[in-house]
Amino acid sequence: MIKLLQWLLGLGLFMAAWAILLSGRFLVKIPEEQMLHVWLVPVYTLGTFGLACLSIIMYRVYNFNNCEAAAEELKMQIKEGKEDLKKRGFRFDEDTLQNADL
Amino acid sequence: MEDSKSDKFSILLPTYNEKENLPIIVWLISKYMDECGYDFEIIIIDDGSPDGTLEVAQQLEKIYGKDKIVLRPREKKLGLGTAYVHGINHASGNFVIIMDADLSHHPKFIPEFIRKQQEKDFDIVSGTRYLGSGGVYGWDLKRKVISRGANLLTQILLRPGVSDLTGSFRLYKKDVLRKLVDSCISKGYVFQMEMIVRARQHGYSIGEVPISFVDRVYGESKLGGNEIVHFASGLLYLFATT
Repeated sequence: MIKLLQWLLGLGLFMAAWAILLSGRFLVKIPEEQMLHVWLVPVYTLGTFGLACLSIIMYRVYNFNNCEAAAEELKMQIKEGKEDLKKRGFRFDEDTLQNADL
Repeated sequence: MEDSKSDKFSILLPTYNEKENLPIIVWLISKYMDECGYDFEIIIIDDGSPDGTLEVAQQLEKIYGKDKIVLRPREKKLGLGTAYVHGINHASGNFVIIMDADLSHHPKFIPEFIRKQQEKDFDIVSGTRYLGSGGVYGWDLKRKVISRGANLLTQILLRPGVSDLTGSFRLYKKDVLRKLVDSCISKGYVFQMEMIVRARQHGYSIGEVPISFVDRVYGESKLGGNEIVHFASGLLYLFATT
């Protein structure tokens, strides 16, 4: 099933459950004072979901590896590679510029 | 048991103005693949770079030999999807590795991809910046937040079963890559996402290897509003159609 349809189905089930709670007809009869909270259930759900997402993102950004060592290694290998390639006959542009000075 | 000695790895390098980086990446690929004794070829697909990348590629062809460096240039910038198709058509290997030619992807991970593939005969092995020892160098806080935020959104909406959906450092079985490229229509980041989503639809198996991504161009090419819009619309397209 397409993801969009899965979400619509899920949303439909959520709305149905919420409607049942609101109507107070089936299963549970909720006392009047608590009805406000029932009306706010979607808000509570979105709020909790939003907070959870923010926490996850913050945690993941904090733990995002910085790969300093990889950058250092690359720098060294670029130098090494240039030296080796020159030995094998590769001409980098800087070489021709330097030769022009002589 | 499969004779892994007969495996050959075709590494596709689509290039555009990579005169500086191309020699180094070829040198690194050759170093790591030779060290491990893997049979390989590097297919350089230059899209008419004005900076002389093709001449650089021709020098490398002379140094490493025509069987190791395969030049298949094109006249102008024609996009990544067609570059892959072009590359596959000239690949003599049974595995294809796709990666960026700007040194953000390090060839030292290729042998790790190969070992991972052999573990469970995976159809695809994808490099991930988000798991284990994977990571990025050169991103500021804002970029990291956008990256993690976009990735979380993708995970929630598409549940792809893969941690890094926009990554472009991957190993594919050649026929798998061919089938997937044929069934994808998106461009840019979204193309890489669509490849994985279609792979899951086809039931292909995907393994992951943590990689380090060294971004040396982030300062020059900021993540602009355009790219964010492109990403969001691509994500919605995949959400609504797969």
